[in-house]
Amino acid sequence: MGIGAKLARGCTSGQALTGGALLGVGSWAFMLTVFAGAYATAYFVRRQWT
Amino acid sequence: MNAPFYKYGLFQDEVSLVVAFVIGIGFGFFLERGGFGNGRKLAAQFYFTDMTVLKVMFTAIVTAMVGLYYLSVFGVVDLALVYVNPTYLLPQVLGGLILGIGFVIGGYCPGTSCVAVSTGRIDGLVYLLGIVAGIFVFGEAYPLVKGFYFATPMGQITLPQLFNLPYGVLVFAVVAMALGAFAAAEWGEKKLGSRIVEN
Repeated sequence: MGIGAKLARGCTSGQALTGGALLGVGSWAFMLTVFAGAYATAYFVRRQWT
Repeated sequence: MNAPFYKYGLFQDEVSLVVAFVIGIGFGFFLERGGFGNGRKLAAQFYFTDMTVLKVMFTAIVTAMVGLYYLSVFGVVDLALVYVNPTYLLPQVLGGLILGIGFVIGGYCPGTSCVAVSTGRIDGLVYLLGIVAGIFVFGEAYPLVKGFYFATPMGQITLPQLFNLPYGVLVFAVVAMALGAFAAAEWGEKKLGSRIVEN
C-alpha cells in the first residue's frame, strides 16, 4: 500500500477525493484503477470477508 | 477573488498547519462515524453488499467539486490558483492497481487505516505499519524506480482540458454519474444487502 500510494503520488484521500473534485486526469485514472484492482482481486480473497 | 486564502497570503505556513489540524480532526471524526474505521464494512464495497464507500466518496467529490465550481462562478475562488496534482499516467495507474489490491486484501486504504488505529483496532495498526514499511522500501528503491515514477508526464491537466469541454459540462457529467451510481448502489444493496456486517 505504501508503495502504491507513493507511486500514485497520493492515496484515496489525496488523489481520489481531492484530485477527483478538482477533475485532475491522473486522479480519475487512479480512482478507476483502485476500484478495478480491488474488484479484480475480491474474488480471490472472498473467504476472508464472507 | 479572495480565495484560495493561502495563495492570497491571508495566512502563512504556521496558520495553514493549524487549519490542516482542525480539518483533519473533522475528517477523522466523520470517517469514523461513517463506519470507515471498520475493514469489514470497507471491504464489503467490493462484494456489493455495502456500498457506503462509493456513496461517501462520490458525495465528498461532488460536494467539493460543485462547491468549488460555484464559488469560482461567483468570483470567490480563483480555480486557476487551486493546486491540481500533476498527472503521470502510468505510475498512477500502477499505483492505483496496487492500492486497490491492497485495499480489498487488507480492508483499508491509508486514511481509513489511521481511523482504525485510533479506535484501537489491531488490524489497522498492522496495516499502517505495512504502509510505513512500503513507503520506506519505496524511498530506499527510489533511484531504481525514479525513471518510472516520472514516466508519461501530462502536467497539471484536468478532464475539461483533456476532453476540450467547458468546466461546467464536466461538473454536470460527474454529478450525473454520481446520481446514477447512487441509484445503482441503492438497487444493489436491496438485492444483496442482507449480508451487511456490523462489527
